[in-house]
Amino acid sequence: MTPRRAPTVVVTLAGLGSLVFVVPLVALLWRSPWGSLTDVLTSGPVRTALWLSLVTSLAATAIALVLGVPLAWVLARTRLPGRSALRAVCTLSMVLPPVVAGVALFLALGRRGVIGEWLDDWFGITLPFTTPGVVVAQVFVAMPFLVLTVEAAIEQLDERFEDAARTLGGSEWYVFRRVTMPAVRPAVVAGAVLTWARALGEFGATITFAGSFPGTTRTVPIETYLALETDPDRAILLSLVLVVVSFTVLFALRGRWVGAALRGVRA
Amino acid sequence: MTLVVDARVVVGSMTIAIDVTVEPGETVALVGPNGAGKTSVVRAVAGLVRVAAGRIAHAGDTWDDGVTIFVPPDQRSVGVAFQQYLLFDHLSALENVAFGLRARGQPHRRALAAARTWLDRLGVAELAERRPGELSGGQQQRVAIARALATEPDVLLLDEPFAALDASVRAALRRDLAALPTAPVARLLVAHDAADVHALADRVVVLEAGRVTQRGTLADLAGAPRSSYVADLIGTNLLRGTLVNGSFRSDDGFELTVGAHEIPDGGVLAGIRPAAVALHRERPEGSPRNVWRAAIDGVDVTPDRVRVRLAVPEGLAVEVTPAGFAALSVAPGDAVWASVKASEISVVPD
Repeated sequence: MTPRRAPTVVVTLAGLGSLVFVVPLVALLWRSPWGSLTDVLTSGPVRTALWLSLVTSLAATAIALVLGVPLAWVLARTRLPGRSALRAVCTLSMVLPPVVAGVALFLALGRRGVIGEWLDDWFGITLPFTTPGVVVAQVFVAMPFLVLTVEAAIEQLDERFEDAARTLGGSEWYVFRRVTMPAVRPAVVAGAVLTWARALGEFGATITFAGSFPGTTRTVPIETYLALETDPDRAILLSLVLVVVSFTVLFALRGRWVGAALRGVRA
Repeated sequence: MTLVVDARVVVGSMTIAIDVTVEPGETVALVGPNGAGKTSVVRAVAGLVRVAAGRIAHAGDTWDDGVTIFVPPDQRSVGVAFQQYLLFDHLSALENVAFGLRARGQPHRRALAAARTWLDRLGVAELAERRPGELSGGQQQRVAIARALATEPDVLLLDEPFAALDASVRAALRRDLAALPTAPVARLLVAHDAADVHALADRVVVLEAGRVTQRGTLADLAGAPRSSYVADLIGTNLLRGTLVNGSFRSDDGFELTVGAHEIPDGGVLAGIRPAAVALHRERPEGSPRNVWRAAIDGVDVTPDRVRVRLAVPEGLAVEVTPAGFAALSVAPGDAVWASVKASEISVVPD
């Protein structure tokens, strides 16, 4: 490809477009109280929130892997009637306002919810306003990133490799584990990292469904929001942490994110 | 341990009706033009696609009857070598070959040892640790065939195993494959090259547009090709025309005396082997009853023979020795005398 000269109008608008993202980030960096960085990040409430966020987001990622990869396989490989509808439902939370997700979770899993009532009566399990509730909210909102990434990779994988494995004596389950999964591993990794980053930043569904109890449900984004009123320095520095994590993830995935699906295949 | 296939396979809008029996120790070649349905037959025997009707059975066990019985691929004693190799990229050559044994529950160490033996038999033992991406096409196909054989299947399906290879690699692999110790395995070879068929197959089944159009040995086919595809496959000329009182007249008006005494008059196909036609500078005297003059349309020289195309009948291929061609001292465009004995022309009803 030869380098081409871009039209001035396009370049100007593109520049303005990038400013939409650049300006707030620069402002954040500019106004960060760098001097108190260590003090704030090691203070009690912040450490509690950071630890809670780390644990819940990793748990959510693990659950998303266990449930989301099979879901991706079903969406990619079966001729299930209503597959498109199922895909839409399973990825709806990517575009849904998180607060709506929280309301829906509440109606399903709240103490008087459709399933929640039953969980409470029979097993004494309560999800709202608990740490597991935080994880549920994060799974709900973040899992689609994994499902879509892995589904795309499986769809592009030449089915004949799986056929070959079947003729060699592999059961469907053996082939799934030994042929399909290794072939789409890069996409699974990319999807998991994106899912983790999304879970880490989850706010709306979490605060709606799990509330904001220090140590049990007050994750970093919620801590950030609350600190904005009382301790702006803390809010800014926590924001900075989230920005750094998100930026690192996206930057690290730059090659893989797009290339993952393609690399898993190789006909 | 006989493989019996008598089934209809439906792929998209195409129906393939196939009827073939392969005895243990025998290799049957399934030949036909692209899109004839050969690969679909392989997929049906392997259990990768169900038959619509009929039956696939091995050693008396029904594998698929299109209705209630269906034995899944992993429970059939089948090995498949695919045209595109389909080696697993994340595994070494050795692990690829061991895959089937591992899938069948063999311990890791034993599976690898057996795999090594098979790589050795296919002449690629030194490539054991390489990934498929680091192998040439020929090497990949050798590994793929070793992988198909490693589980010691009763039925071996070779789906155009040489199609993607260049000529020299192809010849070497064909030779090595023919030399493999022959277990009592029923082999079905999909091919569209006469040399592959000649080297490996005992019998041939011709599949065209989803129908079996001819079957027999390669010699049977060469003796009396029933379609232009078969004629092309074995390098024979095939003329379509009518037979009247032992005289053949092609559709474009070329007349030949033929020795077909048992064939009733009517539409026929006349087959003329390229080597059965002689070329002369002067009009030949004596026995041949078919002599005509024709211009040379093209000449194709290989080390051991010269293939000449004549303008009459159009495109007729003639094969002569290089010495014989030199003695003619002709070039494309020149006219020569051609002759063929009536007894050398095969005639089958069309």
